[in-house]
Amino acid sequence: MSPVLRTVRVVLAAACLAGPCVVAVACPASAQDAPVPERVPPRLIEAPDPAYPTSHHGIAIEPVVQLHVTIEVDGHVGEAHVEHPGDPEFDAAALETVQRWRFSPGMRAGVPVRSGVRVEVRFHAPPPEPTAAVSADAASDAGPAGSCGEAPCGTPPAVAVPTPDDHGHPPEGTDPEPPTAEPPTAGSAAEPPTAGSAAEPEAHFGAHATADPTRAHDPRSASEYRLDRAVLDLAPHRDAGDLLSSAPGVYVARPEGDAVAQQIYLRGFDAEHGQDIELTLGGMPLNQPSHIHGQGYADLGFIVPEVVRSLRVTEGVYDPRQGDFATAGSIDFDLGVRRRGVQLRTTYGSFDTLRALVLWAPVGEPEETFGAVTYRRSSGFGRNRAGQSAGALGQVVLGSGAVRGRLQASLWAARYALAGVLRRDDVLAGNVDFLGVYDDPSARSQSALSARGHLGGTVEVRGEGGAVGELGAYVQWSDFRLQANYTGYVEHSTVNPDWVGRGDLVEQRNEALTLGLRGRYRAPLFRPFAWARGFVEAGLSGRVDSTGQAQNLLQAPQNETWDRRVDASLRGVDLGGYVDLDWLFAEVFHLRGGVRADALFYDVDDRLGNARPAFRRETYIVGFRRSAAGLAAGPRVSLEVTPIPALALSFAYGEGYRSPQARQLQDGETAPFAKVRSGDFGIRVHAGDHEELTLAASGYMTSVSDDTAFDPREGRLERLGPSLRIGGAVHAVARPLRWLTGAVSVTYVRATLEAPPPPSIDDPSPPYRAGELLPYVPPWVVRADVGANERLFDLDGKPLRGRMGAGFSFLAPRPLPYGLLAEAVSLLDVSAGASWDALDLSVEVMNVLDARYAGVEYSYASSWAPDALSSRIPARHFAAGAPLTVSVTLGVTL
Amino acid sequence: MIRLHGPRRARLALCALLALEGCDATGRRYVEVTLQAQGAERAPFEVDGWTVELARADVGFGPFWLCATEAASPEFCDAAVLELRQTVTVDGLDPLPDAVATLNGITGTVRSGMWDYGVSWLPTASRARFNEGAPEGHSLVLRGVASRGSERFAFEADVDLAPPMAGALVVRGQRVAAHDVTEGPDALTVRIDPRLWVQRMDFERLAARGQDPVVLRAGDPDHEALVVAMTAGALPALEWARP
Repeated sequence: MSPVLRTVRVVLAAACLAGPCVVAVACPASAQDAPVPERVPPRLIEAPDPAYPTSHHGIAIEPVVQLHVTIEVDGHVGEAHVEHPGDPEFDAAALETVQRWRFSPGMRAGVPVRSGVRVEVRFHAPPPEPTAAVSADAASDAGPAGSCGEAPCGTPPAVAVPTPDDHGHPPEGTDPEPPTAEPPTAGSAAEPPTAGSAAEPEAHFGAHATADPTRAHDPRSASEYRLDRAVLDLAPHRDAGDLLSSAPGVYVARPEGDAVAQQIYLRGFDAEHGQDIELTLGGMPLNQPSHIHGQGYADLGFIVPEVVRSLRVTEGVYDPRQGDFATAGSIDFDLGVRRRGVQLRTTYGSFDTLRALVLWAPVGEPEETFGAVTYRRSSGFGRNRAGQSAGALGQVVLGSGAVRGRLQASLWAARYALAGVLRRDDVLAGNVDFLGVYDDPSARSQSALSARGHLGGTVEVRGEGGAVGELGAYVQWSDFRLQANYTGYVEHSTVNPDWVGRGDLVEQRNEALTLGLRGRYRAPLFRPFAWARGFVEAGLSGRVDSTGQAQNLLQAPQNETWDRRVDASLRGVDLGGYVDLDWLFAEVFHLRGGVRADALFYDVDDRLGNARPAFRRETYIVGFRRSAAGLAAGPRVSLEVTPIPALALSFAYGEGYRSPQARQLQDGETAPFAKVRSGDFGIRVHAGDHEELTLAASGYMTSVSDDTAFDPREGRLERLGPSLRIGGAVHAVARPLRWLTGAVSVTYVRATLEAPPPPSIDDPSPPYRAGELLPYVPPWVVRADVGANERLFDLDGKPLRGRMGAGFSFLAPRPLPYGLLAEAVSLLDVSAGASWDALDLSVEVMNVLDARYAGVEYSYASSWAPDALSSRIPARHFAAGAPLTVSVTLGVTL
Repeated sequence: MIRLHGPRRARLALCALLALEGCDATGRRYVEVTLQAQGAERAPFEVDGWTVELARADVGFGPFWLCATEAASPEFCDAAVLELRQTVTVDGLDPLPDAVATLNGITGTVRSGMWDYGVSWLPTASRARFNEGAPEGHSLVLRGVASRGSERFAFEADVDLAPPMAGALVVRGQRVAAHDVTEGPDALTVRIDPRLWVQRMDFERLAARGQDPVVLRAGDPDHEALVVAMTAGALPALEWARP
């Protein structure tokens, strides 16, 4: 089709979507009225077996490679790409194989049409080498003689199966190649192939055969989840950080605006801005050690949500790969774009919010190759919330054989004004609106700026016998500046005691440069017995952080500095290493685990250390330089028992750590890591031929040797002492109908303080008592997602798909300091959308019930009435969450 | 029959939901505590041979904070347990305890107190100002008569006790007997005995001035004696009692 004609059709399609009256005029031949033409899906008629890579002979790898292929009108395979690349040699063999497959083309009204389907190429191990031990193993695996299917014995057979997609849908042209894409009829394409199928190996060799003979990708515990795009797309999400809400036990808020990192709650942890969650992007660490605003600060704002392919959420510390900040667990963002082409998306909605996205995913390249540019601006849902952000994120995969590389880069910046926190009693008294800001120059001067960039890459080399070597390097830079007033007018200047009452506008600055390296090597598969096989892997990681940070008090609106609290330079080196064993015994017992150790070194130049009180005679120069080091080590082990394929029981124990805030270290101090011990037991159940129902339930216990909580007086995290968490979680994903998917999770935790700091000269009236509930931790977190996605009808010969989704979050009242309780949070988000040809239109409504809720809530004393006697009684403060927000997104894929 | 009102019913429902949280065991609650004031007997008393009879001793008391720390001060009492954010006039010559105000705060242990005498210097202000409730805009309005034999003279003192600097308080770190503030009925009695302050005055010196009435002004030694007595030497007593 010519570009001109294509443009005309796009315009007509947009007109059709604009409304019924327009349809009547612009769409004289409405597809809704047209008879549905007969559709016939493509059928596999010839499927030569793949060649088993010779380099992998001798090991029992029987991978399944999933591909998306385009079937041309003559039945031959056109474009094909691997959906989830694994071993490059198997991927290459699968690609080569499907090019030799032949189909009867999909038909529409008796006319052959181009179609897209998903297929699997299943590799079966060749007969074993003629050594006694291996022969026995192979015989055991291969089953009785003559069970090689239709393929000749000794020839690796293949299975070609059009497979359902991640939604559980039968293979359709989810990536139709415009303009002539004609996917097969839903459901019919799932019919078994007609030739060369050798279907019986499914049962004979096991339905769970993967590219990894030890099923290394299986979860290590019942508290590990992989959320693919099918689940992430069920409900609307505001940004990439909000995607985490779909994970069990996770609640995400962004109370400080879009230029400050999300606040994340995970299974009994108030991880603040990342202090208790190891956040990674394709394995690259995102947490920033010793950040002025909070240890482990990690801003996810730069991640474009449309390019997130899946999330791996590990709740607990059971994998030796988990490093610093994995006290509550780890979350890894996996990036990839399934829909290829150039996507243009524009969103406009409430509060004059505009977002534009250009996403380029080159056709023919792997899913991991893409580039995205975004821009967003908003006036905010109340006064003093306006701002804008812009960013670019790209990733390129190089190579497709045994050596494969990946480059990734990003650049992002955001500046938003902040409304800050409000006292609840002031809102109740009508002194300030719930969504408002104090009419005070100090309050109106609150803002945040964040900028970051990174460049990283990895090279992966795959050898014989499943051996893998990987080496990665990255450099990250970030700049952070926050002006926030939490307490109003209660601070005194330490520089000059006469300076008081100028407004507690805390300025925090943090600039960091990080260089990191990581590498791992997995030795070839070792199989000493027929009933035991496994891998050994060793890995190293290292990073150097150089951080400059400052904290001052500013007098608004001139931003005159009236007190200096922090002025420091920090250098940190983190060297870590691990050994991990991954062993499968008798196909039932899956034992994994090892040891991890990290050595950390710090060099601190605290330029305001040894501060001299104003009344004291000058006898020395202010400043305190110091260094410290420490070692954290601990085991992680997990055992999964799979008595039947549909049932897995797991037990896990691990010890992790969180590094200290460097500025709090003394000279020569053995760096006091926060040690976490985590235990977990659980069960996973799969039901249905296509896992229509998956259920995971777990109980867990976590102790932390030195917890922290946000201190509004200083605007940063302060130590709380040891804590204990005991809880449980249930997570279920159901696909009762091929067009309907639902997910629900319920997480409970009882989190208590074991020994909070006693009164001291610095804090003579601490807000916590032993046995009290840990502040800010919601005991109950409930999340439910449901989504429907179905082909509705054909319009102009092309399918029009409709979708609806909803997400519900509930947070039980969170304990606050001084024994107070925050209010519960219940939020419902809904979305609806339709896609046709290259067009996509969606409407998202966040907080559809327009609940007035606190994004975050604190309890402390403040004074926002500078001309009145101030209160020193701890009061509830909150930062308002967003009210009802409606947005419309129009997308075009070229 | 026990009837539960809305808030309590809601709280019980919440506690049922959070049964395992033990919210009753660890939660702290907002409370109100009655503040009572008690003066001294009006009867004449002896000071260095002089018979002194007070006609008026009105004291401006507050704002007032009770803290958990052993030694309250603005720096070490960011969060108080109870507070009175106003000034009340205490009749120093009324020996019967009267409820004069309500303290607001949260449950917890009290160990010390700090306060102003009706004159405060707000952090944002350029100078100290008297608060509404201060007797005639002063910390202390004192009127009385001193007599010895045939000698007799009246004396007057209007004392202003201003904090030394913005954001500071006049009296800091006054220890009180440790007391657990609970949701149960509770009352704090401030006992002010102006006689203890007057006893610091030198009536011989006042008589030598030959004035009647003798008006004490800032800078006078006896005015300073009153100031010292009110801020250090004879501080009001803080006693807990059921209302």
